[in-house]
Amino acid sequence: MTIIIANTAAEPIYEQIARQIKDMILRGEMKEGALLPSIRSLAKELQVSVITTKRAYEELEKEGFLETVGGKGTFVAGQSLELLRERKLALVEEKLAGVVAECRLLGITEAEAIRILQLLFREDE
Amino acid sequence: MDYCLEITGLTKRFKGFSLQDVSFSLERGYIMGFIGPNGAGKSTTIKLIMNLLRKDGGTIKIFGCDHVAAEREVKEKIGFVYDENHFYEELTLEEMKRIIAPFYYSWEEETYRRYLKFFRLTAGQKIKDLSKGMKMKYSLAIALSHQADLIIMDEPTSGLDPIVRSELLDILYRIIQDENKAVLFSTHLTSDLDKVADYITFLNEGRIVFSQPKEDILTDYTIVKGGGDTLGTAVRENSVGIRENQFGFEALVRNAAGLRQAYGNKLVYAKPTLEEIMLYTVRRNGNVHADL
Amino acid sequence: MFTLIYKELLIQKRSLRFNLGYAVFLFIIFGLTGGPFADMAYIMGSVAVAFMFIQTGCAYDDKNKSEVIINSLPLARRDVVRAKYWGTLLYSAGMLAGMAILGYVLLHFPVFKLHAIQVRDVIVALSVISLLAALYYPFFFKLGYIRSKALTMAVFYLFFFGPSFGLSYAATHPDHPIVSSIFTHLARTPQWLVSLAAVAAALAVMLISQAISERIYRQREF
Repeated sequence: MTIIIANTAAEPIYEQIARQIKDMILRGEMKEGALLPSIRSLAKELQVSVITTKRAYEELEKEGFLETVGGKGTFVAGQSLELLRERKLALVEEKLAGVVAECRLLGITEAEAIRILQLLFREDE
Repeated sequence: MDYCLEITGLTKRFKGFSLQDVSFSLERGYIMGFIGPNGAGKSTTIKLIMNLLRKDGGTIKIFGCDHVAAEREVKEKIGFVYDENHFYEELTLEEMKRIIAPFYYSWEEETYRRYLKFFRLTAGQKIKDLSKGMKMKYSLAIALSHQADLIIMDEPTSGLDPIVRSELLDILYRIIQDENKAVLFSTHLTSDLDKVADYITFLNEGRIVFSQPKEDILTDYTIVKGGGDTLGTAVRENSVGIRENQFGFEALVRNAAGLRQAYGNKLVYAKPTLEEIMLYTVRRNGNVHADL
Repeated sequence: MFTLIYKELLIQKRSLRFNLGYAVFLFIIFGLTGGPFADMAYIMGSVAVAFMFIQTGCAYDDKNKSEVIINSLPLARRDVVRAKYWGTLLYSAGMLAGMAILGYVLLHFPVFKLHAIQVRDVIVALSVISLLAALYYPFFFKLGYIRSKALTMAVFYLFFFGPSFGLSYAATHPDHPIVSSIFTHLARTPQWLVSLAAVAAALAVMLISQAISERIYRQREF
């Protein structure tokens, strides 16, 4: 499990942690039922406040990615395949929305953008 | 809410200085950084907690008990590390321990020896032969060897090099793994707390400026920099303090969102350090090229 | 409280040797001089040593500012006070025992005009020391070592020379009303009663002083 914090970034630290854990879950790097480190040991390892790690876990629990079993710890929540796929799509959609906004700003047309997208997909093949 | 420490309306008057209406609380399982410039009243507050000074007003509760009415019971559970660790210089570590340990009901000799070993101290050393850092570690070894749930540290790192300071922070992280313990850490070297603290209480001229979770503070405040043309009422109204120089200005502001909307990219935004928050709050404004 | 008495003795570990040496020295000098000094050797020796003990103990506390640590421990301030008083007495008793042994040894050398230790010596010594402690400690607890230093000297001379001067004055002025009334009373009361009264009085004064010190120390700020 890799989590890296940028102390001076504008994004609040708890968000950075939550985002990185969420990404790992969505990419399948963390499986359903996997045990996460306790908020205290995570705080110690990352050298941040325990309130921060607590908040990160709470955010993810609210979104349904994690669940805490009293006395046992925090685990990656069971995801139905549907839900997982939905979430992945939502993530990509979010990123693409950013790209679209950028295109508008720079004056790139839809056709040009689609061409770039196709080229990028073909690159790896 | 399980509080280790609850201070309400604490007041103490001296000839040239007074502590006024100081209130803050610390829950179990957290580290609170107690910051402020020299002379703000941090040591005074700690001495009042330990009843080394007698308060003029207010209440102090430790683990729910009044700190004077239940003084002995309360002190059993407090581990203290002071700035000047006033041990008897002529004694050895072992002899000093033989004086202190019997007073603690829950003294754990095993734990004490483990800490001595970890800190690379030997029982036969004379206290006067210890460096400042070693004295602090010795003090800490004792503080952690009697099942204390509240660790109070008064400027433990002043005069110590960054290596020792970093070692101390690691130890604090270890301590706080036990969610029953709490640490109150007073210092004017805020860089120590930028990472490890959960809560920050800022004391200035005998009054509390704020007492909040550290993350909230660091997101509430923003350092904003810009050219002279952007230094308008919007910035001034929202600033805690402004530093102007020939090439522009730097300010500590509270409502950065409003400024982002108004000025966008014309201003540079940065996350403040606790030190900057302290500096701006205490100094308010400062002109670099002011005539001396 | 016993840990605190232990602390009193521990911090003066090094001075202990010096004190012992000083006591022996005094003892020998007085023994050689003879006369009233030899007579009072046990008393003056132990009073001098007790005085040094009180002084050094308080000096160490002050110099190290250790009272900050001590009073942060879970203990009662009154125990800190009591340890000083009773520690002093305990130490003095120990010194007297040592002097008694030394006295017996020196008896074999007629050059020393000392006598074997007597009950009178012990009683007077401990009473004088109790009064010494009773007078000094409240000031120490209130003002600290440095500020009570001036007083210290005055007190010492009073107690060191006081008894001898008092007695010689009484001997040379038997007609003084106070002196004569004291003498008549003494003549009428049996020895043991006088001793008992002296001890009781000294102890009472010490206990009163202790109570005062306890109250002073409770309010003390560091």
